[in-house]
Amino acid sequence: MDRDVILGHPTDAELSTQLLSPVWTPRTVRWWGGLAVASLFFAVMIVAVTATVFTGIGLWGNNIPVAWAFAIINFVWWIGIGHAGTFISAILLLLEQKWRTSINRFAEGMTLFAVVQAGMYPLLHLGRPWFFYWLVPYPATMRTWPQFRSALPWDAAAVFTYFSVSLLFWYLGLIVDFASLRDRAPSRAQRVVYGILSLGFRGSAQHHRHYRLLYGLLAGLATPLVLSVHSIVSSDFAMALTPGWHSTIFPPFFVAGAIYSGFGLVVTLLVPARRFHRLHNVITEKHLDALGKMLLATGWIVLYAYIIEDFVAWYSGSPYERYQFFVGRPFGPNAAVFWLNQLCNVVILQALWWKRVRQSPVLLWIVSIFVNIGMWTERFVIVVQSLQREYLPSQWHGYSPTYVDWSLFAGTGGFFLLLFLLFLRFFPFIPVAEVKELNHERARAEEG
Amino acid sequence: MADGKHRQLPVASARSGREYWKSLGELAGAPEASVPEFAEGADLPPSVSRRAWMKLLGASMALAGVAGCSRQRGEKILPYTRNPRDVTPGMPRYYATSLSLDGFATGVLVESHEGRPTKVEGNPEHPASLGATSALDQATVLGLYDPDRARTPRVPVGPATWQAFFVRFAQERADGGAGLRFLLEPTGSKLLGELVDRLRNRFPAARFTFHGAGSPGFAAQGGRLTFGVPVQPQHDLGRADVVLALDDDFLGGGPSSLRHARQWSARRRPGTPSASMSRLYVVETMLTPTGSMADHRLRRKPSAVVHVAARLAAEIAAGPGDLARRLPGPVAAGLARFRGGAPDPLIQALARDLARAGAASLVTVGYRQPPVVHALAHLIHAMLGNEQTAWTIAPTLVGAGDAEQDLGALAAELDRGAIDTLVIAGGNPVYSAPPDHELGRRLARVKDVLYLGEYEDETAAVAGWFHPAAHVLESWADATAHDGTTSIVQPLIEPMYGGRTTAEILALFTGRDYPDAHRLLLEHWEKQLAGDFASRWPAALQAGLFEGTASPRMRTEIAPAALVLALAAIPATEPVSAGLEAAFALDPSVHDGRFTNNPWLLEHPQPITHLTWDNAVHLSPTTAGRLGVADEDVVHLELGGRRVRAPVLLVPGHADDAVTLHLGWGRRGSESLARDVGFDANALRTARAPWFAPGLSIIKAAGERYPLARTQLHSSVEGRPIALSTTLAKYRQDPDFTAEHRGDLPTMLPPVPTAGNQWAMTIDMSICTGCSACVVACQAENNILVVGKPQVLTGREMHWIRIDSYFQGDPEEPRVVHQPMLCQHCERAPCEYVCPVNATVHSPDGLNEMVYNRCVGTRFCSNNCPYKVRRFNWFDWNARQPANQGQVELQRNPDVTVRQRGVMEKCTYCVQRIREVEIHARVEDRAIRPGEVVTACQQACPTGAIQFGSLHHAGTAMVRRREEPRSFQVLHELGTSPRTMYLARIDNPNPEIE
Repeated sequence: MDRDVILGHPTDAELSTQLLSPVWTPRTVRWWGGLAVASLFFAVMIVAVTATVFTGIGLWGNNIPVAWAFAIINFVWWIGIGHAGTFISAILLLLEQKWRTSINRFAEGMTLFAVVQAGMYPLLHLGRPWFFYWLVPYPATMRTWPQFRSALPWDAAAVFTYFSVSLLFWYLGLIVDFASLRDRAPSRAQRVVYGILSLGFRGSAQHHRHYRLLYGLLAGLATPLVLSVHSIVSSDFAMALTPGWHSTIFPPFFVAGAIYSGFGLVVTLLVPARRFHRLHNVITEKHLDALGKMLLATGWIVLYAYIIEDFVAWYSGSPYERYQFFVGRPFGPNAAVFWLNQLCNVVILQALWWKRVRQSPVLLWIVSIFVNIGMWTERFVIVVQSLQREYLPSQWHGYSPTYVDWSLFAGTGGFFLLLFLLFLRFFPFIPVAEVKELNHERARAEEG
Repeated sequence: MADGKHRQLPVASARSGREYWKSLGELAGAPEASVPEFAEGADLPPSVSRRAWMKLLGASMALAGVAGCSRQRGEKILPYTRNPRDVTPGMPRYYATSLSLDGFATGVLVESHEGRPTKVEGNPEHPASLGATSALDQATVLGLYDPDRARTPRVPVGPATWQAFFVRFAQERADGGAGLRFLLEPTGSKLLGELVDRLRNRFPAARFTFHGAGSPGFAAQGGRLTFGVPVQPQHDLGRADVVLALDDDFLGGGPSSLRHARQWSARRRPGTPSASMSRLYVVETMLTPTGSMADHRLRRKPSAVVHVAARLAAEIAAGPGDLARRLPGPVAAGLARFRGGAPDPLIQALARDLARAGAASLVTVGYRQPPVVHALAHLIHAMLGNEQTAWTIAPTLVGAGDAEQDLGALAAELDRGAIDTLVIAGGNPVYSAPPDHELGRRLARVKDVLYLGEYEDETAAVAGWFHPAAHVLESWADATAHDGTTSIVQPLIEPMYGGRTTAEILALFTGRDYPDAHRLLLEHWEKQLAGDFASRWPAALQAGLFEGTASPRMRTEIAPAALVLALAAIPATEPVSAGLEAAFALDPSVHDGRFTNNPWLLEHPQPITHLTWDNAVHLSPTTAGRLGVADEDVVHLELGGRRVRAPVLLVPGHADDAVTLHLGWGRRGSESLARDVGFDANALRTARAPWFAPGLSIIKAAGERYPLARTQLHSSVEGRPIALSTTLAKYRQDPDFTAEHRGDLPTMLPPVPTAGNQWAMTIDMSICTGCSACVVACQAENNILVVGKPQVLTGREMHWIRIDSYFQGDPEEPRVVHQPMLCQHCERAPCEYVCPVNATVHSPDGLNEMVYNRCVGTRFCSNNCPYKVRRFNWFDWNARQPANQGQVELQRNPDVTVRQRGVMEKCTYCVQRIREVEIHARVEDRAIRPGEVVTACQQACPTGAIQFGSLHHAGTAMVRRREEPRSFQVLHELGTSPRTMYLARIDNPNPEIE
């Protein structure tokens, strides 16, 4: 197995040169182009955010009964994407999956940037965002505390904790490579900056020992977070009475969905990066195959949850639940989104049973796009379609997003891409030290 | 728009150097020349400034009898002493006054905060109110503050003062009034009656026309047809066991609807399964509140109602008991003709039911049915001997005897150019009269048109002389209720824009300099009351009416001559329908167009359709299917060569082959809101067939759609146990049919505290007519803002109480249940545990409280509210919606927070009223008395369907009702334990009719 995760027999120096060089080779036109597009969308986001904060969320399409819509969909979608990085870095590390090595940094960066996007939405989504800190337990002079029976203060805490730990974990992993960058950087300025960032890491055995200990500890710490964050996010829905939300399977369902969508976006980003940076030797078909299998496995957990949801809706005998699942969603307003969700997450997912699809970068990439769409539409179905058809038919109402909704969504996409492109430029996005380590292990194994 | 709003005619420039003349008139020394160059107050800012406002507030001090600054009224009015709540100095005061519509008064009490009228309540002592109000009454207070109200008197050459009107119009005329005409609104004012008489003396050749879109006078003509004299029918629904309404929405509108609704509801509440109920039959075209309450409803084109009435009268005459003997022979003979053709079992059953009820039956006829239908109702009453349920009084509307002429005659005179002076006092006839009178064009031929109007409306646009009219809350006047009770109109505030009343305009023509409405009124009543004035006048001011002035019953005899001819003119059987019939109706929200600039009423969901901000072409699903049109399709309507374009709205239960068109929309005056809403159905009307006309054609405008903003899009209960209903017979068999929808459910949560007053509400769906007065009352009480049509379309209306109307059964013959829905104040409220910041919490007295200041706006509470009664401030509606700005801010209730952007809000059970009563009780060191707290919706409700109070006040209607077997909680199975309980709708169908 180890054989397939690095192709050829590169030396350490070759690996260093290959994997660190993107940081100082001249910027390509393609990169600038990507940055320009990302910046444009980022600007759109700034405008949309400004308009929303100064005018009110009436600019969005939300209404009564659909009081939550795009902002919550996008929040859950982005935070779900943010699960893959930590899952790959922490859980797969603990499970000693070698194939994670080449892609973990990449996935962690994606996680962090996705959580940044996700974190913006709950703030913007507030009617009075300037009072967001009332959700935080702080010693207020009025002696008011958050209302801890609600999922939302826990949600805020969980997301913030997750962001902090992910950031630490990511940075810790980077320290070793920052040290390599410091040692090889062509200009003094870069040497100074990377020198500071590397926190004096000199590569001594002592340093490595501390580093590994801490990395292992953080991995242990991050592991439960992967499960807790989306469990708590799911309770934003599960604890409500709303038909379609009020369900005990939501925590595992949401966690599986999150990891599924996270792996989806990893593939979406990894395949082009692998191609542009010619990383076929360190991101091999073996990696793609493993990612495909992960998609298939987590996708099927999601699919299983769909089946259970429908079964429970039928079994409950509740007319509200039954209407929600068997009439409201498939035939109600915005039913097209439901069917798109089914197409992506139920039908197209099955393509991954074929090894050829899993190992073909193009096919796998196409499937991953559908995974992303499928998981976004799933959140749309849960958030919007549930609210469209609640208890009292007199208050049934449809929902349609406005241009501000779309601008914000596209804008956070742009912001994410912007951060990601900068990350690709200024940070070693393949963990050089770990790849070299793996390379040595492999060489030893071959000798042995 | 801006230039239309502040229309000022150009005034010639000031003289300088050489003498310039401004007009040929001035050169000739005509009287216009004496007009001052600038109007009084022309140098003031265009709107009421803060300073001016403070001056106006001084009027309140005058009301309290304290001398003050120069603008205040000198005379004295007295507060209503028998207030619904204890009134102490420093608290809002209530004054009794009257609002008139189509000449009939409703007594109201107006709440005044430091001289600022803020809320209209019903006057419990007034026979036309009995303490209730309609949606239109409630919205009147907003009209006072309408920023679009006309402010400047003007003459043909520009702004002017009252003096100019006096100079021009007060002098004697050489022609004895031959060129002088008055076009007045129908009125019951005794003072105006006297002024009309005086004008007839002074100008014997002058003529008077009374025109009101909403009072065609068919009821009076029906009396003339039957009895030889005009009458005003009176009904007592409280004594009627069987009621038949012929095209009459007596619960939803009309001069006595509040009284009728109260009487009717008393007989429709089976307090126990064994109690009796009255039975209601309705024959109508479009579903109305009355039709939705019917036990049996016949949908008929308006033109077919006469056949139902005639056939019914014939069946009763031919029925057992030889009731026909009570009619004169020729009349009875004339009826026999209508029994021809196939027997109609429905009408036969109805006839038997009416005959069984005998004297305890009643037939009411709507305003738009021709006189002969009213006559048939009189005949049925005569046969059944219903003297207790139906009688007549002399018409209360002012007439002018020989000097009265109808609008058609006036229009013809105008066309001949015979008229030099036309005085129009209110009513906006250029808009509201049938267009074939062509008043707009014909008025141009009159030398001087003088219009007294509240707005620069369509009529003002063609009037050379215009004076702003005083709002009713600024006016001194008298009025007459539908039963003849003389009512007083007293002002709450000095006229904000120097408005004048109709009496003042008429007095001007009697030659009085500077007439003053108050002085005219005092003079009139001093004369009328003679020695009793000193004692009776203050009492009348306090009560808002002269007690015991209801008109006596008329003694009438059926006069066969004209009646036999009229009956003979009715075809023996209903003609086979040919084509579509246009049925015009007064609008439930804007009436005849006089309220079309009132944002509360524009956003008021209409009963049944829940349509806001528009009118529509209402038709039945079958007819729509035949025409190939669907909701929101734009169609071209054509009737006799007249055309309009309008959107379609399907209404379940509408009569086939007929189309209901509401008047009052599509206005073209300068009012900013009214200009952009709806289409003008009046453009299709003719004077000959003002209410219904055959031969309508509808052509779909290909591909054109027009969105209609409705607040309820889905009207089926989807089989869910939400709005429970049953029949009286089934209720008697199974009284506990709601048992599984009430009571305690097992819970792990701690018990709910029961100490102290525990507030609760009971709503009886058996008597909720869906009239929606509560919606506007709540809006007025709780500072609920208007959001505008686009926001209603998005689903963001802010009403705290709504009427959910659910249809059951066949869409063509639906059963309708109205369920007022507001915050249920759940004991275990699902909104409370999901709020992350403790912004919605439970009070010890059982209220689900909303803490605006703490709310950050996550909206989780709304998502978790199964009743969907929470409303969110998506924007700062104050800043964003012009309809909430300007003077209307002065209407706001100072006891209620105006919510800011980004916070949630909802029904509070009128917590400000609860706390006010609590404070009073504490000051007086006593417990709160049962029934002392009254919510705004409860107070307005004409039928008393909404009851509120403390659970500990046993014996109140609120508590007794929730102990009835048919009580239930909506979505009881969710375990929310709502404090609001509903009583299932009980119908009382005739077992003979299935």
